[in-house]
Amino acid sequence: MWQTIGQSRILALFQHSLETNKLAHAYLLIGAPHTGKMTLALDLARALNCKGNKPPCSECDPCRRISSGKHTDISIIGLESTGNSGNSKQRVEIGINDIKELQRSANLPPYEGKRKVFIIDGAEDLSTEAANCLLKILEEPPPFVVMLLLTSDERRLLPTIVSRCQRIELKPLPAQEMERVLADSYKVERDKARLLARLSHGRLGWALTALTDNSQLVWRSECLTEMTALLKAGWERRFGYAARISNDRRTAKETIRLWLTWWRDIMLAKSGCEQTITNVDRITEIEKWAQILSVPETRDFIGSLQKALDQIAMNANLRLVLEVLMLDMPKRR
Amino acid sequence: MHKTFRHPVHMEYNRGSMTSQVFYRKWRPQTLSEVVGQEHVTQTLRHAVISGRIAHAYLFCGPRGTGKTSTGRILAKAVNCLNPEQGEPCNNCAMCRAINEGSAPDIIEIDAASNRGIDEIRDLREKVNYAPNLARYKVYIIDEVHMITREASNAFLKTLEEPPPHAIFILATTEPHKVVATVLSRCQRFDFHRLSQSAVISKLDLVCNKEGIQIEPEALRLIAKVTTGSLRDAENLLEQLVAYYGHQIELHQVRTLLGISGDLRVRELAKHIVNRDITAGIKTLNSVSNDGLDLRQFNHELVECLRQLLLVKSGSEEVIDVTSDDLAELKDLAANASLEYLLIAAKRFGEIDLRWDNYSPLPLELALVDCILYAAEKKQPVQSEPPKPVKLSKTTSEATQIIELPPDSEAPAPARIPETPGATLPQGKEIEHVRSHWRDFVKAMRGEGSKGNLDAFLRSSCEPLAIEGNTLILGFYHKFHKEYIEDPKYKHLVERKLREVFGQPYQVQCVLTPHGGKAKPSPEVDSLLVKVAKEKYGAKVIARKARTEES
Repeated sequence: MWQTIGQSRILALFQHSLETNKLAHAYLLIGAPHTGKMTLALDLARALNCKGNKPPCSECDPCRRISSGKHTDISIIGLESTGNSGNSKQRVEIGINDIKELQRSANLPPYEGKRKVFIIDGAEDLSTEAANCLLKILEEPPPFVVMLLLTSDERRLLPTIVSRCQRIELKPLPAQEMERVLADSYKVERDKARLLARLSHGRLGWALTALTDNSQLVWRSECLTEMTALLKAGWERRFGYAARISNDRRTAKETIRLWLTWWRDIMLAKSGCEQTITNVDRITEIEKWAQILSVPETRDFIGSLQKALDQIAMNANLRLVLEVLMLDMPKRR
Repeated sequence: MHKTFRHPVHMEYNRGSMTSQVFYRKWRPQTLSEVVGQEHVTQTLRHAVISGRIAHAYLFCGPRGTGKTSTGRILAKAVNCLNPEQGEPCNNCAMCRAINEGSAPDIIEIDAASNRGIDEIRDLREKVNYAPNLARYKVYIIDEVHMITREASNAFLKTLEEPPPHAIFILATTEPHKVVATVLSRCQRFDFHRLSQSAVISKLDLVCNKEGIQIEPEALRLIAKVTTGSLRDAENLLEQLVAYYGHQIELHQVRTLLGISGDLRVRELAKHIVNRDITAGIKTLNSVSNDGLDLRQFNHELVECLRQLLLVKSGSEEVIDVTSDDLAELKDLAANASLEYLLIAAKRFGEIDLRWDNYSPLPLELALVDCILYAAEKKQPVQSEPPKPVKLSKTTSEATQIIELPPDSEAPAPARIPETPGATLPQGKEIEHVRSHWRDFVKAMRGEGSKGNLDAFLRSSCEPLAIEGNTLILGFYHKFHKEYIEDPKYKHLVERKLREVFGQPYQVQCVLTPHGGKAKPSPEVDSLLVKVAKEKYGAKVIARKARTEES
């Protein structure tokens, strides 16, 4: 049983490759965060070591050991892995020592399973030295080794790394399919499934997190309510808001992203494409505002939002960026 | 320095295992003549081997997947082969076989990215002096040599310059600019080029033949095109195609795998852009994005389509390579839009940056809205037929008002000015005509010039003094403004605008003229008295005399 949901084309590819013994030695799995790269990688690891009839069976001993993270032949290398123990500081890149350790271990035969699987989680976090160090072993590893590189940003990898792997791109699920999966496999009510499918932008992992942890959704609805209030509010309140959220860069970014979806919805509603909007639970509110706001205004403010995101990424003064945003925001009584 | 243990190339090792060797390892070239697309390198090396003039240090550099490491290994075989033929290794003798299996003790392949420190180089320096065990030459293949540290490179210099006679160094890298200059100058350098499409095709063809893969020639060409000259990338793509679709590969399958959508919806969207139909455009975009097509690729094709429209519109359709049916369709489309509009659209979509978020259609939607807003704002009349009103959907009547200007609404300044072309005016009146419309002219200059502020240099700093033949004499009050306008590039702009506004090919001549107490308030403005006379009593201005000129 493959744990990966959706991505039927990719699963078919792996299934076929497994059956015909044509699996390559290195794959690069590309996909936005929460699209299921790690799930897929672990699926492959299970399939390669499975002792059942229908790999990956998820029931045999190796499969269960891999699922619980106990299998000795599966190594996951990433920022969180204990590469340099005792160092409590958050690591920012995967260093050359991790890769040297990988090389050493890759040259030893598997201990309990059939295959050694190395999963590099966040291959874009490899330091330049580490990435170069990986090149030779990635091109010609011992026959019992399979390397799986996971990344959400292919452009930050060396072209020489990409060229040595089979590229597998995990696309976000279309909203309809996501809705169906959520409703059928996870027994989510229709309306909520519809909303989650839109909000997650095709990332199933995100939707599942939101299912178990309601805080994301609560935050979202508070944030949007606040924004519509700001549309009518005076400068004092707006600047007050900017000051309040400028404490935390990440929340500020999330907030702006969220606003972006709402404003895009306004634009879509104005051009008569209501069926594609993201915030489906607020459709009446959006239609109301679509009556009030004009197209150029909406367009301009979306531009401002995007600019603000760019500036935040470039490490601009957060509060200043937010205040400019407040000035740009259309005002309605 | 540790020798990298290279796992043997031949197949027995893999028997019964679940992975097979990928194409780029399985079909690594084994002789110099099998290395495709690098004849300038292989030819030279072959001659060197035949004539026995083998350098002691080579540097192979070039982009990924062009054959650097493979050539290095072949060279190692060629110099050590027991019965070489024409400078090529035989791949049959004990030595060649040992090298192919990676078990020859004298061929030392080093991963410089993993062994980059000075200690490893010192180790190498010591061991280089021992004579080879079996082979004629001890060959060091040092791959990814750009990762060696500076200290290690320097420690290596003496050995690299004068190694013992039995040693050959082959350095390989994708980034020669990172290698210290003193290392570069000690090596014979060979630059590997990106492979031409035909070279890639010939190699892929060979692989397909040997593997029993049926593939359309068009599909091969597409693979060669998208992999931009890296053979490893091409072989990987081919491998993936085989994994997805089996041994029968058609063009459309390659396109699907690459996310190339094909013409259909691209044309559709282009049509919506031309027709200024936001609703339909956004619907098309969302269906594309919902189907999981690569938006970057889609945008790329859209820009290409807009470019074709531009070419058709500007009358250079022979440059584009499409069927006559397509051409007719393009022509139909192009007839509905002005050249300027197409230009704006192509520009706007061309500058979309989808690098950060590949999956959101928002950038494309915004570009669409921008184009249409622009069209509504500018309302440039379409050349061949009357402009269509911007189409917005049923909803919100208020929104519609905002975009939809009535077709005969007044365009901003420039279009309005020339009521009477200057040519019809009698001699003396001409200057009056220019003067009375001077303010409009200055307004029309807004946005011209490199900073878009040329009008500021004309607004209250000069006045038209006289017209002599075709020369318009402008009197400037300050040297600064005069010199600015005298700059040929701005002068040219002014002259062009003059022709547009007054319909006369005036040359501009700039002079200095006193201003201040003597100058009258800007002559082109009707004073209150004159205004009242004109409006209430229907008076006409017959002549205007500037007080400055009289005094």
